[in-house]
Amino acid sequence: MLSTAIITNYLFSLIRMTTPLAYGSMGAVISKQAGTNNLAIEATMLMASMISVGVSVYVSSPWLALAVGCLTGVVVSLFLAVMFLKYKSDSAMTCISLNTVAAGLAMFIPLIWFGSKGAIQNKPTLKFPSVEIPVIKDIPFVGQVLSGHCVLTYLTVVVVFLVWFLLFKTPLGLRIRAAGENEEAATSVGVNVYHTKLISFVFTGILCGFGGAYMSMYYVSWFSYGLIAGRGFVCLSISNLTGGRPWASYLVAFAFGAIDALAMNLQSIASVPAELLQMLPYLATIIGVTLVGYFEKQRLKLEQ
Amino acid sequence: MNVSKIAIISQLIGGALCGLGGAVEVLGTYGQFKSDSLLDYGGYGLLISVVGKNDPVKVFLAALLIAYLRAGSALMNANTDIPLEVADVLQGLLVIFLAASMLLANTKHRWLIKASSVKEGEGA
Repeated sequence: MLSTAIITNYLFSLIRMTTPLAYGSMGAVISKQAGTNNLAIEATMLMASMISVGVSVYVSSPWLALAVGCLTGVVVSLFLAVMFLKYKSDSAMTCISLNTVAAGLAMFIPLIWFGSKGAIQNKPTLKFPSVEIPVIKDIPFVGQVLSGHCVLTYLTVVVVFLVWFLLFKTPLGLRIRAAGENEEAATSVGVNVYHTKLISFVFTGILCGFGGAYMSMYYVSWFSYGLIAGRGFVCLSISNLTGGRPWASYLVAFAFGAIDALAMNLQSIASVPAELLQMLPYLATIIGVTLVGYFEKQRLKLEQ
Repeated sequence: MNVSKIAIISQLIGGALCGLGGAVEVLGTYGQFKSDSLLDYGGYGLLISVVGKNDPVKVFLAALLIAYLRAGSALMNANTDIPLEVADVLQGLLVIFLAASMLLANTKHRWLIKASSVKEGEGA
């Protein structure tokens, strides 16, 4: 039953599904390390995907649309940052509300802009190019899986490396982690917590912009209000599960991408409801976070 | 006091009240179960508790406010071209600005100083 074609197809869509999760989870990793409890990854990705595909109708290069998408992500993130840092709002509530606002705006901005409610469709939108890797593409099985993805998919490796480098090898990363770990301690050694956190919000916005633009300009070439479909929350789960470690998050993103791809491909071959599988990332998070908490507690007991 | 026991009991009471809310809506309003009929109600509940600042009486009033907004948006959608989701945006922004406790704190502070200095002027 499991022919090679099905397996190659599955692995190909696995990589395809992982890309937005990788970008979003990198955004979540930075906000986790900065201790900002940003639950609005979903809203940021949704806004970025909508604006970038909308802008791509008018411009000639998908990269310009991507830049505008990133800018949208940054604007949404900075709004949150001002609310959190300046006006001391309750972070969880603000984020949940922002997700509601974004869901509402995703319905009516397309209505005002293009005249169709909750969707940007049948418009001359742009798509990111697929890339064939020269040598690998000729290797039988491997080539079919690894070659022919979006440019942004290959860029994830670079981005994960950059996020890791930023957080663990640069002074700014050290400041971000210090501000996330203990605000008072960071302030006492001269770190400007306000500015550091503001910068971390900007990075989160840019990364969510990449994830959102990938969804509306490569994964599909249109926008609908349900396009992100909970991926932002899966990204949050990933960063919580790994405690904000970039490379580990990248691996977990692949695991959750595998579940996503399984949910999509299984519909065509078996009669397992897709919803049952789509539940798995969240279930894995609850179990994972509980286990992490339990082992931490045991460890603290042993140390005492 | 046993903190974890109290925490578990309060969670149980909260769960029971949520169950009551769901049961009332499904048994009383619809008489049938559909997976999307209670969509987002839990989220509204959270928002309402923030608007009402976790005080039962204020929460009741806040629930009336949100219900008024939702019912009004349904009517508005039926009678005009304005989409239903305007209510989502409005409700979300309402909660964001209510949750921002320091938003008008400076203005309030300045206003208080002004008011008190006027009073002092009158006294002298």
